[in-house]
Amino acid sequence: MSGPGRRRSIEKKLTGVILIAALLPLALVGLVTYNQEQRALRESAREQLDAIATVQAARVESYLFFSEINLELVASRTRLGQLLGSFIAESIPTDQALMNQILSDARDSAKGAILEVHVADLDGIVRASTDPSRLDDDLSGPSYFADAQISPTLGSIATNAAGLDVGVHAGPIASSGLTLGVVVIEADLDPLLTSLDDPIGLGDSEESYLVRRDRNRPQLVTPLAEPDRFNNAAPENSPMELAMGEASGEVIEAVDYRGEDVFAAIRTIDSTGWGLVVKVDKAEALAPIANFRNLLVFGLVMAGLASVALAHVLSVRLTDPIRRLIAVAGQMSTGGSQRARLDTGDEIGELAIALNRMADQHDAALQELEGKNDQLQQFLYVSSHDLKTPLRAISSYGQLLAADQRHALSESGREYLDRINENSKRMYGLIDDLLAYVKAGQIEETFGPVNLDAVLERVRGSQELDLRTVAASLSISHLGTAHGSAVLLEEVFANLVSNSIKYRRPDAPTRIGITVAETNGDHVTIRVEDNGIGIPPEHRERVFQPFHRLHRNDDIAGTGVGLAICERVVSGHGGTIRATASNLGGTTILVTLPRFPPP
Amino acid sequence: MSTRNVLVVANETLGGRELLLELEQLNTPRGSTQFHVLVPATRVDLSIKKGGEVDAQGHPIIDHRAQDLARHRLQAALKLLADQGAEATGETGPADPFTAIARVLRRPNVIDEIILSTLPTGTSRWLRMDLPHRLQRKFDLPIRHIASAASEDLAEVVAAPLSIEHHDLPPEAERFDRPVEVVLIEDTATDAQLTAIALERSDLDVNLRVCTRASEALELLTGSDPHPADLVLLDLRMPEMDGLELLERLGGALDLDTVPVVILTTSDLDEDRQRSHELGAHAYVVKDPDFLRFQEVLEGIIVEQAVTSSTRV
Repeated sequence: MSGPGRRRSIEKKLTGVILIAALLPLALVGLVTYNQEQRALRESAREQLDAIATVQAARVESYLFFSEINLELVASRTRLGQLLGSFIAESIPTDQALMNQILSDARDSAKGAILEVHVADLDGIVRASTDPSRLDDDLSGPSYFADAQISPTLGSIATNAAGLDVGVHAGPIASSGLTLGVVVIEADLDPLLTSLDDPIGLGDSEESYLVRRDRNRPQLVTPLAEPDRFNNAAPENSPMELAMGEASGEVIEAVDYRGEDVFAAIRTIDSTGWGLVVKVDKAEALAPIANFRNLLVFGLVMAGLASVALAHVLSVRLTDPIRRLIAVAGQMSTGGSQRARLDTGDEIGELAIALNRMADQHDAALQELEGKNDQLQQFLYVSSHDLKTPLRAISSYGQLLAADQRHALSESGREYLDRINENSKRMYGLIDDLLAYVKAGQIEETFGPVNLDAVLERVRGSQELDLRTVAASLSISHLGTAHGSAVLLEEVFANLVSNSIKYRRPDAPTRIGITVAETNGDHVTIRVEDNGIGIPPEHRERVFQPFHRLHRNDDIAGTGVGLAICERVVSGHGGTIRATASNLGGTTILVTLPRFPPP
Repeated sequence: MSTRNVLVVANETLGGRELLLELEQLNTPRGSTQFHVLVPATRVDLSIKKGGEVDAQGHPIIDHRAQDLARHRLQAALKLLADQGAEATGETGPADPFTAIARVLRRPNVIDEIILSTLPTGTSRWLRMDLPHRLQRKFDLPIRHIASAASEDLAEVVAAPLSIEHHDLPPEAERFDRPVEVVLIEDTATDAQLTAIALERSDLDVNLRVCTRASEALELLTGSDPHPADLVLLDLRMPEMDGLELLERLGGALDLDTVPVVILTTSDLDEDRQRSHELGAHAYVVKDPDFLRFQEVLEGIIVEQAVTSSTRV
């Protein structure tokens, strides 16, 4: 995993923590405030609606009250009753013009509140009117007519010939305790409509209207602000429905005829059974809270962005020293002498100090070890010198004795002397090999790609004389490239070939084969096999120990260091070496080396 | 285009693969190089005493086997070079390679480069003498050293013997005007004695003084005499003062070109060898457990002093 990846992960964690820390309280407070605000707004809208509805209801009541007074004023004119009585009886020729005159007077005395007045008999035939064209019209059709014979009754709203909105108010006319007919007043509705339309200040969507029940279906008394969106079938539980029901006097939340969510105050006008609806769109009533919500969301987003930025800055400040520590630790682990220079004064600074201390101790231990190793090596060189000096003297004097005084010795004396010389030379060789063995583990060659084919060609060259001498055949197949030191590997294979020649079978032509035994992933195994005398299974591990020889006697030259050196070099390459039986009947040495390039 | 004259010095490695390849490369393009092959008649039997000694009849004793072998190898090598299309002449020389080379160089011919071919380290007697380094110090010529495998048996190459000119070699030892003054610095009495015996057996006219302590040697060599010795033999491992330290001090006080210091040691460490050369040692000789080979090397170094005294400017 790479460094930047790790840094991002800390940044992610920090961002998460800071986001939560910053946004959670803000969101909580915002939500609580939002709810409170919304409730307050709702309450105030309801209260205002309620107040407005009360005012509007009072206006309607007073309008109706005055209309009824006007009606009764007309109906109570005695003269009019008498005239109507005789007119109906047809017994007396009646002066219809006088009746009309009385009605006109009554209208005029109402000072514009009354537009037209008609008087109909109990059959609904207009007997007198302020509008002569309406004489003999039949008014018995509308439903109010029957009721109006008993008490004052409100009729529907209509538009008269002049295009004005008119309200019909009818009541009984009596003479001598006998109902003779009905007085129908066409009143000017304009004052009522105007007052209903008069905005009180709730907002643009504020609207007031009157409904009444007609065969259980709401029927509008006053026109709507948007009549074209009214489909004559108000939705269930709409303010229109509820205004004529038992919910009168309440402020409700409902869906109106336009399909909009509204707050609505509803009243029943007691004197008529009409319903009054005063409503305002929820959206408008609660608009301030929507603004607040937008503000809250904006605030949250800004706080989130600020948190991310803060987390980034913090994480950079936090991880920068850590990354420097990682870099230094990486260099330390590869043997660098760098130390972390971080005076952050916090835990990271302490970590750096601890890391430095650890590296110091490690270096000290390493130095001590290197020192001891050097001492050991020094000891080895010095002692080899000390061993060689007397040995060389023995060997030299032995040789001098053999060269100059040979004739003075007996036959067996000469033989003894030869033994002495042989063995002192041999021991000298042992000391040299011991040194070579120690060196093999210490040579610090630069490792790189090694062309094994070229290495083996050189080995063939260096061994050619010996190969020729014993008439041995050496076959080498394509081996490829290993990772290591060409010089050291040449030594290994030269040793192996030389061994195959040394430990050959005297009775058969010597054959040596070098092939690739196996290539697996990052390693290649080279097989060096011969048809020589072989190694007994019980010795196959020990042959790689220094100075271990299978052949103690002197019939084969050597000190027993060759394979041990091979082992040291190969394990120094991170490889292995082992001996097995050979298909050719002799020995197989398997050398496993790292491949190049490393896969 | 002028031809280059290259002196090829080899014996056992003549005809060896590496050497032949190198020579072929040198001779590219063909005919650009004139080879002169010198085969020092390296002694086969070290127990035969050096030339200069005469037999009962007063004739110089000559190592005939070594000379025959040298001649035989030279013939084969010249044939191989001719097969390669190279211009080559050749001669055999005295057993000591340094003497042999010095003799060729003394003649009025122009040699541009020396190619010295030896067996690899460990088996080469010439490397044991530190020959490349000694040549480098004595002769102002580019010297290329090639470590080569021993050549195969050249018998078939010279199935039909070529006729090459050769004359009887003169006695190998050079003439000295006076005894060679040698100072040996060696703390081990036995080793000092062995060196003395080797010099004595060589029949060279040597005047040997032995110092068993470094301080004694310093006193002797850094006195008023500007030429206190012809040759200094110095052991490296000594108690009191290390040989390298002594060498450094001698280098500060003496002209190491006129008083050459040869390191005689049992140490075969590359560090020691390199450091010695850096400090101006003339040669670095590892004491051989084989006495006769030791003697051979020592003789070569003494003879060198006589050989080069006449070539020295």
